[in-house]
Amino acid sequence: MSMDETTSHTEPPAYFTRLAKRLEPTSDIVKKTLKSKDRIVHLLYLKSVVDIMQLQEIVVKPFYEMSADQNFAEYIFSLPYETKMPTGDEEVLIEITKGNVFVMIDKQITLLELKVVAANAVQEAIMEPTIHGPQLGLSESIETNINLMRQRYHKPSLIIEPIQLEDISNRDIALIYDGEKVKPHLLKKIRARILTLDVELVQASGDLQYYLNNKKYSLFPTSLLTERPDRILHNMAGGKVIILVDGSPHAIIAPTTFFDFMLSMEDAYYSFWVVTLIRFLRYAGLFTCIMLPAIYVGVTSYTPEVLRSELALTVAASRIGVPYPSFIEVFFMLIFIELLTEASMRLPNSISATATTVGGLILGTAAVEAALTSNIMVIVVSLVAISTFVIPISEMNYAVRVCRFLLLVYTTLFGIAGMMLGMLGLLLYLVNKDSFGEPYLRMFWKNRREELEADDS
Amino acid sequence: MSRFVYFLLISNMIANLIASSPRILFGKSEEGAIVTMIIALFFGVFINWVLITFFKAFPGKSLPHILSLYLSKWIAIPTLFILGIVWYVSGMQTLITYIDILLRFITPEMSVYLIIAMFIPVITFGVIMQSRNILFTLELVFVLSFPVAAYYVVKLYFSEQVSWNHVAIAMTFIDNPPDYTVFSTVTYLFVGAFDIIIFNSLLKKKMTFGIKQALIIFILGAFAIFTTYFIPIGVLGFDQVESILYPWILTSDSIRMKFGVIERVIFIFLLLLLAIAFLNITIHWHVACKLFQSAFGIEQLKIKLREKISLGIVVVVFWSIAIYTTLKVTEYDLFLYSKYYFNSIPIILIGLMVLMLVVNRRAKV
Repeated sequence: MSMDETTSHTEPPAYFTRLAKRLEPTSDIVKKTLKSKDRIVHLLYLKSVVDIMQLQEIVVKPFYEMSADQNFAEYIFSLPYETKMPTGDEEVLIEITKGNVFVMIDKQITLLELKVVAANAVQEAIMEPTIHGPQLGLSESIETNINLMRQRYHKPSLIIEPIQLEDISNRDIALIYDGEKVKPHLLKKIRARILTLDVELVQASGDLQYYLNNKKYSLFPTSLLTERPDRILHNMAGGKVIILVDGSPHAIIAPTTFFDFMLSMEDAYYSFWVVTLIRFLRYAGLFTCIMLPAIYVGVTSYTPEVLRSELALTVAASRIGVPYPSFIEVFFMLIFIELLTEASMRLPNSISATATTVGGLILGTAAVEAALTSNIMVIVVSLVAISTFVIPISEMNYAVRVCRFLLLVYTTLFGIAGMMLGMLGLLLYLVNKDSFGEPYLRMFWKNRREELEADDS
Repeated sequence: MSRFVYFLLISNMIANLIASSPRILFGKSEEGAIVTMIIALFFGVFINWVLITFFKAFPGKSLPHILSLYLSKWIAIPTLFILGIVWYVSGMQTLITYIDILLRFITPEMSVYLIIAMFIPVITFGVIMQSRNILFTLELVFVLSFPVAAYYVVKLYFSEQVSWNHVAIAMTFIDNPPDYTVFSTVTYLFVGAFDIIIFNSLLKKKMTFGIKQALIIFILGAFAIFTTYFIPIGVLGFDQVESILYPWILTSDSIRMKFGVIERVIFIFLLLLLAIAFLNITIHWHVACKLFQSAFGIEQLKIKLREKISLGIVVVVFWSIAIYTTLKVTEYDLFLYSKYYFNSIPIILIGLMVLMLVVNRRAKV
């Protein structure tokens, strides 16, 4: 950059010095005074977050190229980069740390948003891949994400509402919704919930989601984390509120129902009967992975006569030599498969394939040969593991894995009737749950007016 | 009429399959069962008409609320108390019957304490839940179990085991004079909708009861009565059916699925009925709980903690009585007491309807 350094006889004003002092001794702070014959402009910014080329292009160059009779202040204030000037030193400083350039011309001050974000590349959707539909997910920059929304949803009623969280990182959070579709009381509730959060540090959408949940001990997620723009828009068009956190490639969707977690965006891109089949498979998978271990215990240890006699005999024959009751066998194998899943998730890709092979194939076969478990148990456990992955959203996936153990305990204690009652109990729990005041699980009949209001008791 | 009213009605009809009602009907099969069932069918539609017409005038208000508005405390509180007992006993009767069935057919080696322990957490959770969510659960369970139930009914009607000759024999006893016990037992099939004395506070939409609704209830009732009475006679034979303790379970057990993974239909039947019976108990106890709460004026207590304590007391009392009765009652007692209970139902219903008439007149003035 070619410009003169500040000379001693043009002292910056007191306000400017005070702000600069507050930011010191950080190394990336830049205090600049642009000076020509009759004009002085003071600039204060952090060079690590400001686009230097842009600054040069739109502030520094015009300053020296403009003739004396033109008003430089007018020019600066007419720039489209201006952000709203907050009141109070602290707020101004926060704006500067976000990448705004503080400009002072005589007694007039303004902030120019010339921020540069390194991590604004749009990432590929990894957690929720689809064959058709958009291949790219969100980025880690909130501006890019908002841009992605706007690119796909051209409507003046798309409202982006910034919220400043009272945590130490002063992260940008934005509520995004369709002003025409969203329910006002819902929006108010979510906004209030975010504003009353008392947390030290919000790092990403994930922990914000946990704090929003407002309950320490909860199993099922009441808001949904997604990385897919099409899922976000799908939900926004349904009147839901999207929460974006700067620096996180996931958006929070609230409120959610149980069925939102069972929806894959792929469903929108296929023909009706294909989607019906896939949905049927998915729900069958859900029931399988919750109930199958419990059914195995109930049927082998309590009421073998439920199965037709040939099958009952096959199961019993397969269990010959297994030295402990069925529930220990099931717990043992389930914990084994959970360990395997966890391990393969945390390991780098190249090693996880080996781990799965060793764990799944070799250990499974060996366990059967050593008569520590029955053949049928290995089939049951593999089936359970596979059907767990059919659930499209990973948070629901985790919750279901926990449920499976709870149901297993209930069945171990009370038999096959216990399994049925346990399932009903689970159903009661889910129906009794709410997500930001909206019922979590119920039958949603389309085109039917709300018949039941929430009761107050 | 809200769809939830039908759900309540149907759940009561189904839950009765396992209770003592079929046995009472078969006991009277040569003493006027059929003609009484026809009379009771019309009476059942009639009481539902009275009920809906009454509540039509008060959308979004439960019975305790209405009574407190239009009647003196001295009438309202005993009424609510008696209704609470009726509803509580109704749930308890289903509970005891089902525990008995579990002990006999599914897990005979299990101790009765363990079986009671199995019900306690789930039913308690259901009873203290919000009324709205109970209705949602009811709907969900209906949707989930509908395919299985439909399969079961089709399997029943087209089963080779059903001897329609025996059904025809049973029908020849149409000329016997009517019998009060049969009348009250069949009437009980129709009282499911009476749960709206509490749930009406959620049904904000104005209900209608025209020809269409009456016809639906009539057909549902006719189908339920026909199935409850004639199918076991067809399967088990007209002469033997009255000597069987649980005719419906034996009926289900005589049907098999030739190619199914589960061969005996009885297990599908029992687990399906467990779901319905469980919901029936939960709903009845929830209604009873709310009735007792308003009878004791707990609604007036604004403090949340006190409300919770009162709920806790009600639940503990409910379970103490239920556990004591379950342990004490023998199968014969259960049958006998159920009969007494059924016999009292028409009287209570008529009393309730007279009360509704009075309230309706006062409300109009």
